[in-house]
Amino acid sequence: MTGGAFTLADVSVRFGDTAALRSVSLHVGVGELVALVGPSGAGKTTLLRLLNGSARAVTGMVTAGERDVAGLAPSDLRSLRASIGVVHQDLRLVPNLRVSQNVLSGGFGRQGFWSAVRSQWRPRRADLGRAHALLDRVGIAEKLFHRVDRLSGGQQQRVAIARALYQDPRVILADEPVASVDPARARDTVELLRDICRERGLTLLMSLHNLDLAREFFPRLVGLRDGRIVFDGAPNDLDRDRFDELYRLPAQEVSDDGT
Amino acid sequence: MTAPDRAAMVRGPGPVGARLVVLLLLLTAGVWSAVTLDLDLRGLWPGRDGWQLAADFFGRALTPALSHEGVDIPPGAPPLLVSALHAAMRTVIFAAAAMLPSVVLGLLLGFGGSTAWWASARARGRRGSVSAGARLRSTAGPAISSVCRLVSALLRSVHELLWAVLFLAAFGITPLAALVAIALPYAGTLAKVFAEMIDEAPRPAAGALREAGATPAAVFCFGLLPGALPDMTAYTLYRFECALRSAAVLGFFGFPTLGYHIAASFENLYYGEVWTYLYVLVILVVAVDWWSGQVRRRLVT
Amino acid sequence: MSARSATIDRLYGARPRSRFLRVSAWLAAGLVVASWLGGGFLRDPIWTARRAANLQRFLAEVAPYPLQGRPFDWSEASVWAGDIWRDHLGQATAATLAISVVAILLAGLLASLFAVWAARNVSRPDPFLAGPRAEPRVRRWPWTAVVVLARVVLTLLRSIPEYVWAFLLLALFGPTAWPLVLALALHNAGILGKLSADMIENLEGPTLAALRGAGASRGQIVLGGVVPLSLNRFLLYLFYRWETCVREATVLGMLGMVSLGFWIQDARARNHYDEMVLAMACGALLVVIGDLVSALAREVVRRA
Repeated sequence: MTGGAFTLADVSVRFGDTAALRSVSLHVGVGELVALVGPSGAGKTTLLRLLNGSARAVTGMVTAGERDVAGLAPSDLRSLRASIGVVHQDLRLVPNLRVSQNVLSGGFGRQGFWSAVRSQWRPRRADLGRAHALLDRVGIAEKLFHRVDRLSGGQQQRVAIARALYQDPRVILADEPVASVDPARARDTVELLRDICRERGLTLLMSLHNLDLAREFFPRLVGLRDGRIVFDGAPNDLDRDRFDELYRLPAQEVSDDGT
Repeated sequence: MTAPDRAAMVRGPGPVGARLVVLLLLLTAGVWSAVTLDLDLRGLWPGRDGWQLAADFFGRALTPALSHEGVDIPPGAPPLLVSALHAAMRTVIFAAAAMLPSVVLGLLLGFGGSTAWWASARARGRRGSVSAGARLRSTAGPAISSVCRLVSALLRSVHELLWAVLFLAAFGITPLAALVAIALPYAGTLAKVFAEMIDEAPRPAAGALREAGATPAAVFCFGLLPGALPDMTAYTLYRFECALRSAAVLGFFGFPTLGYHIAASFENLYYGEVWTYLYVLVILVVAVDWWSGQVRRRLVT
Repeated sequence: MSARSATIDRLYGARPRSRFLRVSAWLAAGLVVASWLGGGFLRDPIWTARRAANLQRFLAEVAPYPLQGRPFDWSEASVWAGDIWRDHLGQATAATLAISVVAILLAGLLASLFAVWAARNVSRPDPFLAGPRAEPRVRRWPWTAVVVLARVVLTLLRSIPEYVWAFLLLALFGPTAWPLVLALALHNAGILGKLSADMIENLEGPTLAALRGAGASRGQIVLGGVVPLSLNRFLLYLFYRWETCVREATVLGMLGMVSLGFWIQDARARNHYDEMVLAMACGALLVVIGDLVSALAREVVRRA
């Protein structure tokens, strides 16, 4: 129902006394591949959470497709969320269930309770086939019936990606998906997500700590700092001065922010 | 008063202080109790008869009876080991049968008593528009879980033997009454522990399913419950071990479990037989303990 | 699709699964079903005229004696309950509480004595220091024997229910409070001892090995390392078990000694069901209060 496009118009978000986003305006078109970059605490996660209605704007408006996210009725919010796949840094899988069960749980957004029970208990052959095809795409088809907690960290990450894809989404939101993996695997994962979204025409918004990865794989970078957008453009436009503006640490942040 | 003293007063007693206070209170309670009970250490010195009994009884600990000790064994009585096995079987039957209603009731009261199924709806309700179902859960949830907790507290506040006495008085001796007597307090205990385990289960997976648009019931059943299930299973098996002991003790009230034979043999002064029955009970308990440890190990990793 | 279907079938057939868990699940289900089918619980008719009459008589006699056959009146009922409380129930409730407290303290003492010997990382020639294989077999086996002996004793203590202990000890000590106290103490020492021994085995090795490396003796390690590191958990376990001690202390009196159970049994023998239920209510109240106190104490310990 989102169609895959988002617009933020003059959006501010506050948590208690701290401002997470300050009058941010941004448009992301259908099928765009966008990397959110910037130091930690810049508001990248908050921006992503706004898009599926997990966080709310204090002022300004968030539009998904044609509609105001904050004004959605609960059932419309549910179908918006069903059309947005989210990949978290900490994966948020159920460790003691099988890979197939975790992937099929991606379909819950369009299912009633009993149909969800059925998909966990005795999945339909066609649904299992879809899950298997997705796992094949992310390279772990052989693990379809393994328990998630017996898989390596990289394999678990692929399960999380397959679960998001099983939603048949128009959009993938990835919140620091590679912050806690080693560099080689981080590169593979970012490339995989980018390629999948490109081949399926999905909108991809990924927050990334690592600027090199963002420049290598994304045509558009959005730089955030202290809740403001300080850069929005192609990787080549991010010159030395802009980079400094984005990442230069003020004195007090050096002590607070070890990451 | 120096500055550090004042600071200590503001913070209250430090880590060592709190533990020390608890320990001192415990000891004080102990002294009060000893005075109330009029406990006399000389009471721990059994008289000459007591020593004789202790020697006779514990003397048989390493030589439990393998056949009946009595002189006049009634004709047709089964051999001792057969009767011990039979009593063990009755004990297991009572315990296993009682676990079914107590787990069912414990699950119902435990789910109802947990806060996990309504707390999130409540938090979202404070932030903005929510569905009718979420509104219902956030208003009825606290009341329902309080009622469930109260019921489970009442069920477990009465000991299974007292439930048995109550049912015996109300209905007369039937196996069903004994079974229900075990099942009620066990359901109360299971409910309390299940509710705690569900509320302490890891939440991230549930959050991810909610974010993908899953219904609250699906979030609860497939995002939250799987994280609590290994602990719940292991605890249920531990309660089965306890149920074996409770079922054995019910024998003292006339049911044909191990306790019945322990009491009868002891009163007949057949101490070897007593040890036989005791060891059978020990074997049962140790076997279930081992089983639950193995199951737990495989479920958790 | 059919090639994929075949692959899924192959993967499903080869899925890793634990035979032990599967067998356990079937065994548990089979045990429960067989118990219900073979236990004869539903053989007698549940509801007969005689049972109905029995129940009716019971319900009539549960009403306080002065009020039987008359409409219920709170003030008269409370006068009746107050008289019984002053006569013996108050004293029996206090005794029940006292028995549980002495018993859990004794259990804690016994358990901590046993736990040190039952913990495999203390009961060895070089506590905490070397891996098991680093020590010569000849020096190892006496300690292994100590561990096994301690664990066997703890298992025996814990496998035998409090009620059976009390029954056996009553013959030994006669009708004082000691058989009850000792029965609760022995059973709970078995449970607490095993829990504590396992806890000590899971303690952080390096801190304690450092003590050993600094030349501390076995006793010094236990007092200076093991006790401070495990005191909190031990107190938590102690309070958990105290809750069950309160429950059990009520019941054990039914064998003929000072606690509430004595009066429950006494009232039952005289068919005074009103007094019996009143005594049970005192016990239930004591258990609820005990749970609250224990929860409070555990919270204090947890924060400490």
